[in-house]
This record gives sequence, structure tokens and C-alpha cells, in this order.
Amino acid sequence: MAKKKIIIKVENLKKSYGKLAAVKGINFNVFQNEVFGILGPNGAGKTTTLEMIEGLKSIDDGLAEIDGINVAKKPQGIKKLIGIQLQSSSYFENLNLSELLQLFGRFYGREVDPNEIIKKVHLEGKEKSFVKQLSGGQKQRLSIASSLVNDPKVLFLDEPTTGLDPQARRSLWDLIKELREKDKKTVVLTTHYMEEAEALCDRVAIMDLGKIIALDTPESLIKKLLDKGFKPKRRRLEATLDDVFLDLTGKELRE
Amino acid sequence: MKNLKMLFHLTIADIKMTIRDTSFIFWSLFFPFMIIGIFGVMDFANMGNNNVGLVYNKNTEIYAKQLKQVFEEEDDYKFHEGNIDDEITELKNDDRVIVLEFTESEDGQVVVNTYMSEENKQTASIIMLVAEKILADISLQMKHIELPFEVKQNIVNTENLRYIDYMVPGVIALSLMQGGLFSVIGAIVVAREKGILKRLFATPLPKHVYLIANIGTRMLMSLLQIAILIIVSKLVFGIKIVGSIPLVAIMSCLGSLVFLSLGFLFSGFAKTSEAARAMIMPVQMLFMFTGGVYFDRSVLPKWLFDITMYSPLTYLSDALKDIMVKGYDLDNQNIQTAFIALSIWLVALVSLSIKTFRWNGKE
Repeated sequence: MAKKKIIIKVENLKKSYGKLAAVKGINFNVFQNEVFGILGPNGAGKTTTLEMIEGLKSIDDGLAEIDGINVAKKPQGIKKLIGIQLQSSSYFENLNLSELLQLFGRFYGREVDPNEIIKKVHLEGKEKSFVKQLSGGQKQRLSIASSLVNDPKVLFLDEPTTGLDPQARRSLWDLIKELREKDKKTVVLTTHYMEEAEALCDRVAIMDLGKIIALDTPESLIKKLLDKGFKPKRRRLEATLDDVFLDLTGKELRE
Repeated sequence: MKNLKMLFHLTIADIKMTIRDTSFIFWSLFFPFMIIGIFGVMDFANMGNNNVGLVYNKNTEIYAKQLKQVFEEEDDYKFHEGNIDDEITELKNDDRVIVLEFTESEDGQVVVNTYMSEENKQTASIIMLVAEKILADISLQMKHIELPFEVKQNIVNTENLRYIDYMVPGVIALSLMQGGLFSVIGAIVVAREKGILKRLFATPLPKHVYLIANIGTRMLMSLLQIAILIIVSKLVFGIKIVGSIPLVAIMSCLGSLVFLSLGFLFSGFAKTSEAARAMIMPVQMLFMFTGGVYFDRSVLPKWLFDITMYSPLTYLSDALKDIMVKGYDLDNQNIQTAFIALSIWLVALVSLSIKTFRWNGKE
């Protein structure tokens, strides 16, 4: 395998809110065209980490670089390189999807074809809809669509599937895989669904209390655990309840 | 150049959004007409206009003074003494509800000429009746006067300005205030609360472009709103506008900027939209009821009158009235004063907001 190009470099990154240290000096690299997951319970520092790398939050100490550009020094330059899906963001209520995407393109000085992006995130037929008419899954797709207007090198997705039903979640996974395979995007995502990380991520970093406590591919993390002599409490079945649910209710989106 | 393009597209989008916003349509068009309609029908023309002009000569002074004394004991009227020409001018400006002129006929009889406008005839007639009654009492008391007073009624043409003609400029000023205050709250506090701002500023969109687009949109919308208010008021209520329309537009833009900057000041302090509304409401109410929009400011107690003389809404609504109704132009001192005063307000509010404004509100 050819040597992988590092696109994101994070060194000793720190952030405190008052006395509370949210991120306590973390290190990791993300390679080009991989899906990198940051996992961890609520309050572990996932979103803070992401927002520091995105240039949305100031960095107290340490270094974050994307494609060789120092985030702290050139936050405006970084914004042009990346696409961001925030954990909870909303959009103007009185613009339809086409208008919204066009406007967002303008913010990058680009004239985008909204239909193309809408097609890419599988929201065909919703061009003239307003945000409030979209379902939860569709809103997340719009959110991803809006982060694609500048054809970014790296896509940051903060808990993209939280609150979605299994159908919508699976279909968003398919979209993320497509973006990585077809569009050659690098994706950094946070989640607290382990099956999601397992299904999507090439490598995951597990965070707790502001620190990265493990970083590897999902397979080797599982292997390491088993090597320690871990025995699952329940016998592992060949299928999950998720599979049962999808088998019974179908895979089509209910939107 | 790139920013200019961004500004252009964002402003277009802002205009689209504003026009699609049903609450904007309600507050900027339906609500003002409702106010004009309600108050126009009720005709509060003379509510608060309790100014009586009193004119007399050396021989009739004693009767005029007695009349005034009795009136002032019983009722809340303000008497203004002066010569007949000045008092008639005041009447034409709607600053007097009635003018009572005490003269003598050749045979020494005291003749009281009353002057009133067609619009104020009802109120004035009541005052006239009361005056007649008082004069009759006076002549009874002063038995040496043999000849009774004679009271003559004169209707003075006052260019037929009605209450509604005064009302419309006031409502325009009020709409500018509301539009200015609430559009900033919407663009900053509400957008912040909903997470729209965070998403916007995750793109390279500069903050000042966002601000300018919103301010520009608000100004354009205000002008459009005023145009509609004036045209419809003309067509439906038949209001008369004698002054210069461009001057109305300029004054409105200046007023709009003052209230936008006031909105900014609040947005910097308020963490939530509810907090922002709670801050705005009392200020808005104070301005609204003391700005001479609904009723004449002369009914206010003196201390309140004196303080609220300096409120931006008072300057704006008075100036708009002066321009639209009285036809005053830039060479008029009232208009110049309003310009200067509103500019001072603007500079003060802008410099204060620059110091206190935080995109995320005060922590």
C-alpha cells in the first residue's frame, strides 16, 4: 500500500472553558480519503476538538493543520478548504433548498448548480422545499449538501445520524461512503453509535474526559480487546436487532 | 469585489426572505393600517388639544380675564393670550381648538368672536357654549352692564387637515422604529439562538457583509413600506401630503438607522431573543406613547414632556409631520433640528454599540 498522505495534523491540542479543561492535549493525524471517527461519551470533548480544527473555536495551545495550513494562523483559508456539518445548525427559514445552496456557494465566491448537489445527497424533488418541510434525515442531507458547495477537501460531520431512525441512518451511511469513494473526500465524523463507527470508519479515536485513550482501526481495537481475554457477556449472534428491524420494516426511507 | 458580490447576493436573499415572512407583512403593513384605521375612525383630533386662544383689548380685558379665570377653575384648558393674527395662525396649525376674541361694537357692546376650524367644530362648539354660559353669569353679576355679550361664531379654513393626516406620519415613524428594532433582533439574536449564525460564519462570509446586507435590506424594506403606507393612505383615507417626498425618504432612512443602531445595542446585551424583547418593550412603549404618534404630546405632564422631547421617535414623527402635513422643507428650523438631533442619536448609539456589541451576546 502506497504511503498515505497526511491531510490533518493535530499536535498537543488544548482547550479550556474557564477552569474546565475540555481538551487536554491530544495528538492524531488523518490521512487523505479516509473516514476518521472520533468516538466518545457526551462531554468527552469531541465537538470542541472538531470545532478547533475547523477554526470555529480558538485554540488554547498546540497545533492543528489541514493540508499544510495552520488553522490558528489562517482560519479564513481553512474555511475554504473544508465543509462543515454542525451538530445542530439551522438554516434560513424562508429560502428554498436551491436558493440556500446557491447562497452558500456565493459565500465561497462560487456559482453552484444546486440541482447537482441536491442529486448528490439524494434530495431530488425537494429543490423548492423549505427547511421546515424536511424530515430529520432530509435536514441532515441538506446539512451535508450545504457543506459540499465549495467542493471541500475535508468534510467534518458532527454526529450526523443522531436522532434519525434506522432507515435514515443507513441511508446516510451510504451517502457518506459514496462521498468518500466517488468524490474522494476525506471525512472526519463524531458519533456515539459504535455500530456506525464500525460500519463507516477506517480508523477511530476514542476520547474520554478530553483525552484520546485509543486510536486504531475498529478491527484491531476489537482484536486487542479479545487478546486481553475479553469474553462477551452474551453470545454474539450473526445478526443484530437493527437488522431485524430493517428486515421487518424495509430499507426504504420513510420521509 | 468578491465581498461586494457576496453582499449583493445576500441582500437579494434577505429581501426574498423578508417578503416571504408573513409576520413581516403583518407588522409592516397590516398593523400600521389597522392603527390608522382605528384611530382614523375614532377621530381623536381634539383629544389633548385644550388650547384656547384669547384676544382682547384694553376695554375688554376685564371680561376676558374673568372668563379665563372661571374656565381654569372648572376645566383643564390652557389659555394663550395674544393678538388675533398670531392666534388665528396657531388655530390653522391646529395648535388652538378655539380662539376667543373680545371686541367692542360701536355702541359699546362686548362682542365675542369665536374662531374654530371645521374639523374641531364639535369640541370648539362645546367650549363656545360654556363660554356663553359663563359670560351670561358674568353679566348677571356685573349689574352695571346693561348690554349682554354677543357671541359670534366664525369658521376658519385650516387647509382641511384632519386627524388622520397627522396620524399617518406618526404611524410611519412608529413602523420605522419597530422595523429597525425587530429586524436587528431577528438578524442577530434569533439567528444566533437558532444556530443560523454559527453555520453562516463557518463559511468565509465576513461578518460585516452579513451586517451590511441586513441593514441595506431593512432600509429598502422601510422605504417600500412607507411608499405603500403613503399610497394606500392616499387612496383609501384620502390623506393630503403637501411636503417633499424625497425629504420624507431621507428623514425615514435616518430614523431607520437610528432604530437599527438601537437594536444593535440591545442585541449586544441580550443573550436570548426573549431577553431582547423584554429590553425593547419598555423603551418602545415609552417612545410610542410619548412620541406624539397617537395623541398630542401637550397632554403629557411637564416633566415627561420635557424628557421625551429628546426621544428619537419624537424627533422623527414631528419631523415627518412637519414635512408631510405642513410642507416644511430643509430650510425650516424644525427640520434642521430634527436632522441634527437624529444624527447625534445615531452617532451616539453606533459608538456605544461598537463598544458593547458581541456576536454571542454578553456573557
